Parts: sequence; C-alpha cells; structure tokens
Amino acid sequence: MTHFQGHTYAMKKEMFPDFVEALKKEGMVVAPKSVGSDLLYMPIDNASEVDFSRIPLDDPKMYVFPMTEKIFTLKDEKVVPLLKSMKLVLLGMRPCDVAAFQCLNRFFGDYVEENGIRDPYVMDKMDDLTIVAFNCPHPKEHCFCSAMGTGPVATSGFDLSLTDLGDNYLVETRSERGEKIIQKLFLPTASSEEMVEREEIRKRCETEMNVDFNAEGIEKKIEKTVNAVAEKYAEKCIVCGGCNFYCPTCSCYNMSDVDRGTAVERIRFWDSCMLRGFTWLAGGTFERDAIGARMKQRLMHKLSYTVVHYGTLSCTGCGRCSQVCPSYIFMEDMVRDILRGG
Amino acid sequence: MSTNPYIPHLATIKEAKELTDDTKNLRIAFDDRKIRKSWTFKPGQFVEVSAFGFGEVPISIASSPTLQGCFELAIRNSGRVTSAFHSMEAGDKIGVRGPYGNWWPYDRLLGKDVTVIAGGIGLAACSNVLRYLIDKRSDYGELQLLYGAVIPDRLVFTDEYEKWREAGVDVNITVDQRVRDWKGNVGLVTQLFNEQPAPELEKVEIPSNAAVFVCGPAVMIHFCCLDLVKLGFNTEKIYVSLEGHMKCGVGKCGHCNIGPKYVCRDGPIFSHAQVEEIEGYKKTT
Amino acid sequence: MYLIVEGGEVIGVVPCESHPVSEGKLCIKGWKAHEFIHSPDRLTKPLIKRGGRFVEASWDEALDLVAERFTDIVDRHGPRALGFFSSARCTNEENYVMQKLARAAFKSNNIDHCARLCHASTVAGLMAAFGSGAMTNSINELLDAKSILVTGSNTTEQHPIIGGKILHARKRGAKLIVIDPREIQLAKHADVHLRPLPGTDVAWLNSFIHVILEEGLEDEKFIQDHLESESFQEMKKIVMSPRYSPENTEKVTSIPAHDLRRAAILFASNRPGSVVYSMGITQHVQGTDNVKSVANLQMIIGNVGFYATGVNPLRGQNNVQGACDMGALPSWFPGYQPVTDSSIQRKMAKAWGVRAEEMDSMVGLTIVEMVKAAGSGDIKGLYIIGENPMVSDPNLNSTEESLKEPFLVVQDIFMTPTAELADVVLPAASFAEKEGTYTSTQRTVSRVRRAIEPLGDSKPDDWIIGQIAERAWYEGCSYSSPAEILDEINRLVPIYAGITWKRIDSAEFPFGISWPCPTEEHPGTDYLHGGGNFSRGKGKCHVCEYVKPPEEPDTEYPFRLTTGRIAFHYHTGTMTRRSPTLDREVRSAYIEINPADASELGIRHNGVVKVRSRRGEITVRAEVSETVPRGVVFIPWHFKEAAANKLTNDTLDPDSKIPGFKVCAVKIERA
Repeated sequence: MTHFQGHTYAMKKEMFPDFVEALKKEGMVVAPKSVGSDLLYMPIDNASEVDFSRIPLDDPKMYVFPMTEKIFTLKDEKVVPLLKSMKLVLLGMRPCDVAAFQCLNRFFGDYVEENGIRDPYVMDKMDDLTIVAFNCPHPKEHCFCSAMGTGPVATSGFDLSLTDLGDNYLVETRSERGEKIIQKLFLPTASSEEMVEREEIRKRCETEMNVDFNAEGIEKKIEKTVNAVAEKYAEKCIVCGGCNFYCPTCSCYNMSDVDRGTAVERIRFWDSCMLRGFTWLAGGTFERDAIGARMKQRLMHKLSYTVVHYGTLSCTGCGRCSQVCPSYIFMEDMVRDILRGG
Repeated sequence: MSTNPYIPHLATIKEAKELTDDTKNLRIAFDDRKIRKSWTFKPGQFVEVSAFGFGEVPISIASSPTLQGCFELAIRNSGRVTSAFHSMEAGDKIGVRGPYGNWWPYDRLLGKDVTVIAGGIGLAACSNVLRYLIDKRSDYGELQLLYGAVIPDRLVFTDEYEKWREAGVDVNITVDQRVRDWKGNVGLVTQLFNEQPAPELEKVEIPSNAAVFVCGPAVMIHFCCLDLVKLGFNTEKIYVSLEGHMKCGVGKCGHCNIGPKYVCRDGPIFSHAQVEEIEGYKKTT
Repeated sequence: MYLIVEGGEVIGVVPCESHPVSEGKLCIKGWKAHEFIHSPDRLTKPLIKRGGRFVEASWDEALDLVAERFTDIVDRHGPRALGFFSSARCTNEENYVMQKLARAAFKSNNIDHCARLCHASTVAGLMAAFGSGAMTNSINELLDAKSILVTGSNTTEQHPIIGGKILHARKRGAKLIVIDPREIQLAKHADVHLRPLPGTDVAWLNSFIHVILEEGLEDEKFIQDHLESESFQEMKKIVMSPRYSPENTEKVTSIPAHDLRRAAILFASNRPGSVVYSMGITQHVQGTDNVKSVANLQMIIGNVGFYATGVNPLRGQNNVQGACDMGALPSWFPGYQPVTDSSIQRKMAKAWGVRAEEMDSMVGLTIVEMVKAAGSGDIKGLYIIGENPMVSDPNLNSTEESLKEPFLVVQDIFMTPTAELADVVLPAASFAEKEGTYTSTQRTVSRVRRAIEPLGDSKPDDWIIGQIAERAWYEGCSYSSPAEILDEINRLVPIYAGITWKRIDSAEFPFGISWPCPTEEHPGTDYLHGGGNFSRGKGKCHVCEYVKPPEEPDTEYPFRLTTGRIAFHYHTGTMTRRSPTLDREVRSAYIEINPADASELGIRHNGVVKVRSRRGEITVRAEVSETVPRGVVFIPWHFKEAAANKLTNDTLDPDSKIPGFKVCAVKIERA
C-alpha cells in the first residue's frame, strides 16, 4: 500500500449537506440514523438524517459481511454465484471500527503469500468502499481504544475523517479518493489553531475514557496469564455468542444448504467460537468442550494469533462485547488482568 | 477478476462401492472435460465435496494422484451430509472444490523408509500417499503399513492388502476385538509396535530411520505418537493429519483455527513437533 | 430487537441498545431468532386431509369446512363438545379473539393454553395469596436486591438475560441462594446451594419459614398490618410443628439441616430480598401449594410490595403472560374476571353482541382434560393454534390415541407432530410477519411489528380466527386491524384500560407499559401490592402440608426423573431445531446421569441407553455428569423422536390442573 500524504481542511457545518451530496456520488451512503430510540447504521438520503450525537452499538461490519448471506444457487445443474458488488460509503465510522475494517480487509483479502485466498463476497464490497471516519469527542462506558492504539482519533485506514470543532468540522484526507471528493468542495486548509483544538479534543476524550492500561506488546505477555483469566471470567459466560457476533473484527461463519425444491441455496451466516458446536470435530468430539477453553481461544485469537496471521491485534477496544454481554463480562477487565498477571 | 473460492465444480459419481457398513468408496470425475484432464493434487490434500441440499464436508482424497481422470473418496457415514453421500449411487451429481491443504512430505523422503500407521477410516486419509509410494516404489526404501480397526467388518480396502504386499509393502493388520472367525492379530494398532506385551499380536519392527505417517481418530493419533516418541522416534519425522477440524477449507470460516494455525491452510498434515507446539496453546491450566 | 430485511427476507437481528431491560443484550436464541423464519418447511398453504393424505386447499375451502364441522358439532352435541387451545406465542389481540371465538361464537368455556403446563399453579397460587397471579416486581429491580433466592429456575440457561442480571447483582453484593437439585451454572456462583430431591419443595419451604419464625426474623409489623391474621396464625401453627424442623425436613428433602438453616437466615436477614422461580416450583402435583408456600415465605419476611422484593415467577413463552391476561383460560374472562360471575358475563355478552343466557357459565376444561375428553369422545372438535401437545403433554402415549378421535384443526407455522394428526392444517404467520402486542413476564405490554409479509399463503392468526367465526355466523371476531382489537380490550379489561395502541407506539413509551394501567394518564406499574396493600386487600397465608409426589422411585423404577430445558432449544423445537446454529449445539436428546450411578449400571458417557417408566420408553444417549445428584436423572424434553414426555406422569395438581412433569420414576439400562 503506497503511502499517501494527506491534507487537513476546515469545513463549515453549513456545508455538511454539500459534503453528503458529494459522498452520494461515490455510492450508497450509510450513516448513524435515529431509529426508534436507537442509533443504527442505515442508508440515508440527506444530511439531516445523520446523527453523530452518540456512539451506536450497531455494527457497520454487516454492510460488508452480512449476518446471513447467499453464496450461490444450484439450479438446473448450474451453479450460479450470488456476488453482489455495491458502491458503499460508510459515513461516521468511529476510529475503533475503522481499525476493525483494516483487520477485516487483511483477513478477507490475499494476505497470505503462498496460498492466499481472496473472499470476493467481502472484498468486492471493501474495494468499492469509501470510509469517512468520525473522531470521538466522548467515549462510551466500555470504550478502551486508547489502550489498543486504535483511537480516539483515526490515523489510518480511511479516506476522510471528520472531527467536530463546534462550528466547523476538521476534515482530513488519507487517500486519493478522499482528496478527490474534498476538492469539489473548495475547502480552506485548516488553521494551526484548529489542529491544536483537535488535539485537545483527543486528549479530553482519552482522559474521560480513563483507561489505566496499555495493550501494546500484549501478544508477548499473554501466554503466561491467559489461562487464569479465561477460567475466571468464563464461569459467568452464558454462551450467547454476542461478543463474537457484534465484534467488528470477528469473521467466523458457518455454511449450510437450503433446499427450496426448485433450487438449492448455499448460505453462510455468522458463527461464534464461544459456542461449543463451533469446535465440533469430525468423529463426534469437541475441540474445546469446556467454556474456559473457548474463552481462552477468543482472547488468544484477538490478542495474539492475529498478530501471526496478519500483523495486528484484532481487538480495537470498541467495547461492544462488554456492552452486549448478559453476564456483564467486560473485555477491558480481561485485557487489564492479562497485562497485570491474572 | 479473481476467482471465487466458494463455487464448486460439478462432478459425477462414476462408481459407488460399499467398503464397510458405514464407509462408502466413491469414484468421482469432473463434468467439465478440461478440468478432468488438468486437475491434480498431492497425496494428503483434501477436497470440499457438496451433497447439494445437505451441505459440504472436507474429505481427504483417498486415491493417488497417479490415477488419471478421476479421484476417489472413502466417506464414513457420521452426520447429515455424509449420510447423504451414503445414499448416492453412480450417476449422482455432487460439487467439488479444491484441492486444499498441504500434503504428506513424500517429496522430501526420496530413498527413505516410510511407515504408515492408520486407524479405522483414517486409512482413507493416508491411503493416498501409500498408493502413490507404491506407484513410485523404486524411489523409496522400506514401505510399511500398520492398520487397525475396531472389528474386522470395519477394515477398509481389504481387497487391496494382498496387492500391496505383492508391491513390496510390509502390511500388518489388527483389530481391537475378535469377531467370528477372525484369524489375524487382535490388539490395538499401537500394540503392534509399542512395548506393551500383546499375546495375540505379531510384533512389528518399525525401521528406526523411518518417516512415520499417522492418521485416525484423535485419541488414536495421540497415543500412537506418545508410543513412537517413547521408542525414540524424532518428533519432526512423525507426521499426522488433523483433518477433523475443517469446514470451509480456505482459511476463512475459522472453525479449524487451533493455536495460531489454520488446519486447512497450515495443514492438515503436521509434524508431531508442530502438534506439540499447538497443544501448548490449548492447555488451559 | 430490530430485524434486518434484505430482498424481502429477514437476514439478521440487531439488538436494541436503548431497551430498558435487555440493554442491547441477547441470548443465543435471540441472536439467531431469524434463522427459522425462511425455512423451506414453513407451512404456506391450507391443507385438508383426504384419504389419509394432506391435499392443498384454498382458504375458502378450508375455512368453510372448519366452520361447518364446528357448527355441526355444536348443533348435535352442544358447545362443550368443542375445545380450543390458544397459543402463548400469539399476540394479545390474537388470544383475545380466540377466547372470543370460543365464548361468543361457539358459547364454550373450553379454552386453555400452555400456561396450564407451566405456570397455572402460579396464577392459581398467587391469585389466592395476593389477589393477582403475576410477577410482582420488575426485572431490573433484581440488580438492587440485597438477597436473591432462585429456585426451580436454571436462569442462566432459560432466561439468560435475567440470569446475567442475577450474576451482576451478586457482584454488586447481593447474597445469592440457589435451591435446585442440579448443579446449574448459577449454583456455582451462589453463597448457598441447596439440592432438594425433586418434588419435596413444600417441605423445605415450610422449613425455611420454621427457621425464620424460630429466629425471630419475620417482619412483625408487616404481618400485623398487611396479612389476614387468622390465616397467618393457622399457617404458623402447622409450619412450627416438629415435622418441619430442618432436621426432620432433611429426611424428606435430603438437604442438610445446617445448610437449610444457614440459607433461611441468610435470605431473611438481607432485605430487600427477591424470590425468583420457575418450572421447578410450578410443575408438580403440589404446584399450587409450592407457589402458596413461596408466597407465605415472602409475606412473613415483608418482602412483597416494595422495590427489589417480591415473588417473581419467570414466564417462559414470549406471550404467555398476555395469553393469561387475555383470558385464554377456562375459568377466567380477559383480565382475570371469573366466568362464573354473572354480572361479568352480562358485561361481556353485551360487548360481544350475544345473549348472556346463551353463554357458558361453568368453568371449562383444561388442556390435559380436553385431550382426555377428546379421547373419550366428549369433545368432538378441537381447534389448536401454536401448540404441540404431541410433544408437550405429559404421558404422551395416550395423547396420540386421544388426538386421533376428534375433528382436529391445527394452525401453526410448521408441520408439527400434532399437525400431522389433523384433519385441517391452517398456515399461520410468524412473529416477523404480524402486528400486535406481547406482554412480558414483568407485565410490560409492548409492540411487535411486521418486518416482512406472511410467507406464501399464510395469514396472521387473528384473520384466520375471524374468518372461521364469520363463516359460523358470528361477525364479532373480525376487525380491521389489531389496533381495533386492543381498543376493545382497553374497554373490557381494567388492568389494560390505559394501555392503548397510541400510547405504546409513542415516543413517551417506546418500550411499552406495565399493567395495571387503569387510565390513559397512568404511567403503568413497576411493582404490585405497593406498600403491602395487596390486590385482594390483605395477603392470605395458606396451610400447605408436604405430600409425597404420586410416583416415587422404588425397586422396579429406582431413579427419580426430572425433565427440563436447555439454553439452545425452545420447547418442542419446532423453531430452534430448524435453526442451523442452534441445532448444531445440541442435536439430540440425552439423559444426565451421575457418574457413580452410571458406573454401577455400566453406562459410558455417550453410550446409548433405554429409559423406561410405567408409561413408556425412549432411547437416548447418556451424558454422564456431576450436575445431577445420585438417584436423580434429567432429560431435556425438546426432542420429538425421544420425547421425555413419553415417560412423564399425567397426574394433575387438583387446584390448578397442572401436570407433575418434574417427578416420576424410571429405570435405565444399556441399549
């Protein structure tokens, strides 16, 4: 990936609708939108629908990797792939999710030199994706991105990023595509005061996040402490799978066939390594029968194995897993305990 | 425009033969002539076969790559999809993706002795390399097979043992339990070579420098390797197939991820030394 | 939760972050709630059985046939020759319309639903003790309780969100007492875990009260001010007798006396305290007595009518609370107004446009009784919606024979074993395909909204019921929308009076309103009997003597079988076994057996065994596990091909007519 020298601009908030119109030319724009009393990532038509006021629980990964997806149909003895390419703009991605998309990009793309396999169902959408990040002014209860080095400000993996400075947005470009979009708006370069303000916002958000640990290099320490940590927290696990389903980097899935009579569909759907059935071995036993073993797998995968697989940790500190856990098992507690020695 | 790794090629079952009450041998040929002629694989690799409407399973290719124009699978009836394969006959259409995975390191063992130890249906996953080595007999040293099943009716490829002996393979068969008029060895396959006395077994000597390929149920592999190590075999020259873990075959679905490895990409063939390393990641105490 | 729809299909769910109870959390069944919706097995066309086989028919044909046959049966044999099973999975509106069909169109009180099989004893017991048969407090209050007593509920598996909250309450300092024969997950986190023999609950509950009164831990002021004193004195006399001392109770329950004392003192000393219970208390021949004893316990401690206290039965089906509230019960009109009360009957008759004298003024038959009556010929026509008695009824062996007798109409989303026996099968819409309201276990009425159109030719249940009524010459079951039905409910059911369609779809109440809600200005009620002012006035204590279960282990059938559920499947598995993810977790039935018992019988883990009771036999795989104590075995009942209910006892609780599913005697041998 070539290094791109980005620029920073200031955009008055009244120009936001023009900004959204410019994005619409790049594809279907998906942004956080009010639905009932929740914020969900939904396709939007105009700028007034966009709501940056809170961090949504909703997971934008479903736009490139849906919960259920049809792979192909077999009809009249012909296998027909059901690839959907779609030009998509994800507007308002938080830095943790931007980092997560980089993980998904590496995982589903050709990342292994020898027998690299590219998953076209995900990658066709990734290749046509415009990412507009939104830097977080305030954290949520379970956020710990600053410990994972992924936020609260996005530094890479996006085309454009926005920081809310009150009357203006600070707009940063990090790709050719981002630069091209912005050039049509004729924005002034950001002033040095505005750059400082962004830094202030970042510091304030970090302070509010109040995270007392740093996970850099955790993959080197984790083996010594993970057993005790996994056992301790797994005792409360009620095996809902939510921590994996809503994790923005989790990519495991299962496949099955649906016989519709006239045609057969092969579908794939989200799976979770916390489920015992996930670890089923041909022969009828389970690789990870005990819940503690599965919790260990989850922690090791996020905080060690993916460093081997594609060079980075795959926990971005978004806190979703902590939020959706019915047993109130918090990832930030587990990461802290792993670093501190169980 | 890169290829879509999830789309199977259509193939037809040319012959379906029952090997035991729960194992069927299928001879399969691709429908597309071009693929039929050019498709090849290395012994130890597996394919993802689809029984459309039921699902897809990874199965090690049982035949040798020297068999032209088609390949064979020995499938054990153990679940929904494999059961669907069991009710198939010649002429039925299936889907095939692959080959995937790595292979038995036959290419690094020219001139060496090779011993294959298999249990139950596991013989199907290493018959590929055995048959290949037989076809290239003069390139290798001593060839040996130690094979065991629970009862005589569960032994697979029984009509080939004599052929293999004639081709110069030292074939040793045993069953866990004697049934009816079985006159051969009785004992676990590990007892064929380990240090535990077994009265109804003719003991086998494995050449001390042999590369050993082990395939069978997880528990059998485990004890087999333990016994081989006890006898002084080098853990880097004992190879096993961990094929039971896989699902999509292309390293994406996550099911075969153990330790930092993906069985379908880094395996399914691993040396025992590598397996020990992976076991280290699995320990939870 | 929100449903994700793409190309007309539901492809996933999104948890609802702002929901006050779920807070964005879901259990595995929730995350995979969509997987069964588009199963190719969905019923999409009406079916009529001709010559022993199902033939597709038009709606007109099928509905006309049903109406014709039912009217004919009433003409020749009277209204009580018909029976109606409503569904706890259908909406409030649908349940209301179903009981209206039975009572107004066909003049029969033979209407019941599956609450009979699960919480009928709760409704009966708490009505008698408090005047209201529902969960007294709300779920989130558990987080602030100082002690929680969980009995007969494997909460982390069956109500995972609530189970998680109990675990969190524990983390916040609450004392947790778990009383369950099995070592369930929650027990591992408990301060005290007592393991009574299944079926001995009145004994230990009385013993608890015995200890509390002995130690002087009761709330004297609350007893004086809020309980019927005579009932309290009578109960106290019995409970204080030596047979309920912890030492004597140990002989019956096998709970060590010392532990029982410790648990009782711990619970009573930490207030506010909440009792959470479920099937382990209700599904017994002494089920109503069990519930009354729980009520006694909480009343004497003063743990009713205040924040974070209460008697909290966890209801199972998504709308079983609503089905009860809507009067899909043989003894109550909607709103728990008795059918035997002539003034209520007149009120309903007027609202429904029928003559009061023509209505049925006797209490009708319950589910198990209706099945038996079908077998004996007293019931000649049976209309079952969203219920699968062929797997869920006790003592299944006679169920099949009985259901073959009458003219059977089954309305469902899948072809269940019950539907297989039907003369007419009507395809219904799933939860994602209809509009209406559901009532949760904490009495909150909230909306369910259509995400996709009904599949194939299936229809929402209320439309089907209305059509049958129309063709039987009664127009009162046909409405233009569920909103119209709720409107009628608002007028006839005082506890729902202020829960209008407009209010529960508004920004003010995005997640519904909890009843009682008597007016349109009322915000709803979090906990009942506020301040100790019970619905019936004063709380009533009941004398409950422990009676042995009708069938205990003996030399021929030496094991005590208790049945139950697991986290991955739901009831008869019609939906969950069609979800690839849920089905993969547990594919088939099994029996949990203690390792010592297993080794004595030569049974290996995963070995196949035959389990036999006096009523039937099934073959399952053995799960050797320390979860069950010696002498007790456990079978999950979700699997139709190895139905645990082939073994269970159909002796009913005389009060609430609930079957004693939880105790019977079996023998086990290697297959």
